[in-house]
Amino acid sequence: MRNLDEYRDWQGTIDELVDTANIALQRLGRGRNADLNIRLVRDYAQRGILSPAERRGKEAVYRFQHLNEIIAARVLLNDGWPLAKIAEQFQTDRNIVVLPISPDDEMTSGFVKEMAAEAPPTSAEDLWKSLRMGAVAPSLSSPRSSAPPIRTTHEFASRSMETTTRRSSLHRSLRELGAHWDHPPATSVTRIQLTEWCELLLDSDRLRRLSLEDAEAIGRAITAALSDPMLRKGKF
Amino acid sequence: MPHSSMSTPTFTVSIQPERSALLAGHGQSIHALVRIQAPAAPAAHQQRQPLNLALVIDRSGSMSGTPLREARRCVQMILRSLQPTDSVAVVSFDDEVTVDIPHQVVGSQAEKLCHVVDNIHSGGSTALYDGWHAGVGQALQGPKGTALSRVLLLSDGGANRGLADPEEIANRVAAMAQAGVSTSTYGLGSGFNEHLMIGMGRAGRGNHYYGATAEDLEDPFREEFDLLRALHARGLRLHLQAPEGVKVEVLNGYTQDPERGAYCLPDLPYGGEAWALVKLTVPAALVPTIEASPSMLLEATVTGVDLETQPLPPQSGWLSLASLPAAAYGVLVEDELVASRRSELRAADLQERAQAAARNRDWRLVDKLLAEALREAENNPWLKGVVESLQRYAAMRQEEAMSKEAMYGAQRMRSRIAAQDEQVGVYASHQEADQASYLRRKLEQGKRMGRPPQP
Repeated sequence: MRNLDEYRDWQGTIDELVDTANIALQRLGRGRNADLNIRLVRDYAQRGILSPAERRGKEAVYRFQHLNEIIAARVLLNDGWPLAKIAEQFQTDRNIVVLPISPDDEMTSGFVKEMAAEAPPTSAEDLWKSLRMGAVAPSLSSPRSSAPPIRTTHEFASRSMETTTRRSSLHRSLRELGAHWDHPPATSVTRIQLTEWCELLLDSDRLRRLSLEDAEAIGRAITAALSDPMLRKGKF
Repeated sequence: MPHSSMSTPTFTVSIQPERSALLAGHGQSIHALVRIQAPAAPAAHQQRQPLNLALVIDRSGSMSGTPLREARRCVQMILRSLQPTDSVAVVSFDDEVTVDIPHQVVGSQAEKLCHVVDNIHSGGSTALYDGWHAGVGQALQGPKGTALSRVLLLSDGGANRGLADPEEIANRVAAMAQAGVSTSTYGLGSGFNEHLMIGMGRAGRGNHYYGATAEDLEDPFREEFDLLRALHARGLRLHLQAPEGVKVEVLNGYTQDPERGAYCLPDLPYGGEAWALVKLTVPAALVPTIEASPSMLLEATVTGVDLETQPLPPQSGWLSLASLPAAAYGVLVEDELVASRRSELRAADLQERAQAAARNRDWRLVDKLLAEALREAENNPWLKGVVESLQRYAAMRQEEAMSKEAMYGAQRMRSRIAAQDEQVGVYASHQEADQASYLRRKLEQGKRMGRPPQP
């Protein structure tokens, strides 16, 4: 019987990626919402969930890594993880693997069954089981691969909880310092030095979307501000 | 002028400023109250969504006698209030966890279930986490997709067996809440760990209550149950948008959704009001000139889901203010409600600081902070009563009672559901008692309504 391990040498086009991922999701017991399509694949690529495809001439070629990423994303999404959070986690760690819901299923064997011995929390029930006293996120690495350690969706949940802990600690510390926000406001800024004594600081994200009209309006605003006698005297 | 969205079958959002205009020509900070008001309960609400509850009771040695007897009585009160279509389980724990009533649909068995609860007896130490975990396991056996799956955990102690780290427990409770099972906590007496119990209630997207004695727990149990029965919307998120350059701060201390920065508001019952006090810092350049038309300063959009977790239509409210010259601005009267909520939040902040000082046994600082809180309460008789109760605990140097009351009181002030017709400057216990239990303003969180505030 076929299993995920069989896909390790897989490669194909975007159409084949969609077909193969849908079949694999069905086999993993996650086929109910496996209505993956090309539009979604492109959306995941844009969000950074899917690694860039390899270009071969005009054609984009996808491999096992892409298949794994897209299946993991679909499973996590169905378990309630927001796409933004999945993308955030995938930015730091792409080596995530999805395990089947039914380890006894005759379609799962070898590699998959071996992994299923430590089933991840792919549902509320699985999460509950994983939260038993002393339970720790299993560290699973493929015995046949020299690739970086593979993470499970369980570890994804654990990492997310770690993030929650850090955020909670940050929140408390900020409150102790008298701040009323949960996260320090942070913005990416681009500095444009016009002269040695004159610089513009602009929100980088906004700068990327700045139209010519916006630029002209900024020019007028600067003129108005610099003509303001109170501002010129340094009185704000 | 404040403006609200058109009336709809769901909640409405409006923004009420502390003054009805800006002072022309000056940068300034203003406060505004974002009010999210639920509609009155429809007649059809009698047919509410079934509840799926797991009641988890501490039966450790310290609960023997009156505390366990009262805890059993509270559980029986809930069992008798359930509808036949509701599901329930009862779990008790000391060193070990016992599933006294496995998950089941109540049907016509309420009295039979009450008899089973009579047989819960006290034992050893407090495996609180294991008890909670078993309760979640029972709740998970409920019907899938039920919006109201909740564990109600009652304990008089800290976790002293099994997993005991409050932060780790809160993380796990948060993960289960995300997966669909929320948690509320009930602390009993003066020996429980308030950080653990409040942390679990907050992380668990439920509530957190405490009772100074077992008899005092009946109020919060009834309150939670009434609240669950009256829920209109859950998972409310407040999204705020202001013109570039205007700084926006929410002063309640609501948790922010890490995804979008939206603020997580409490669940909203029919007839109730969730609220957020917002501080806007407007630079002089953005204050409209006297001749100009009012400028938009804040847009508040609230999203949420109904009891079947279906998204409700997002609702928005807007705040636009014109500016006035100093003479005209000077005669504007400060809005009483906004001022009152502002005082509440300042008092909550002072209470939290007093709690920390009490834990350090720095009673001089406690007295100073509470005196400051009393000044904040000058025009708010309810707030005044709350602070005076704390002062009595402080005067007697009762560290545990002072610490718990201050913490629970502050949390309540920051996130309480208000009555839509709440009168500022008026407080009478008998009038509060006529309100729905979850709308009542109590003088002491750990005491039942009507009980004298201090023995």
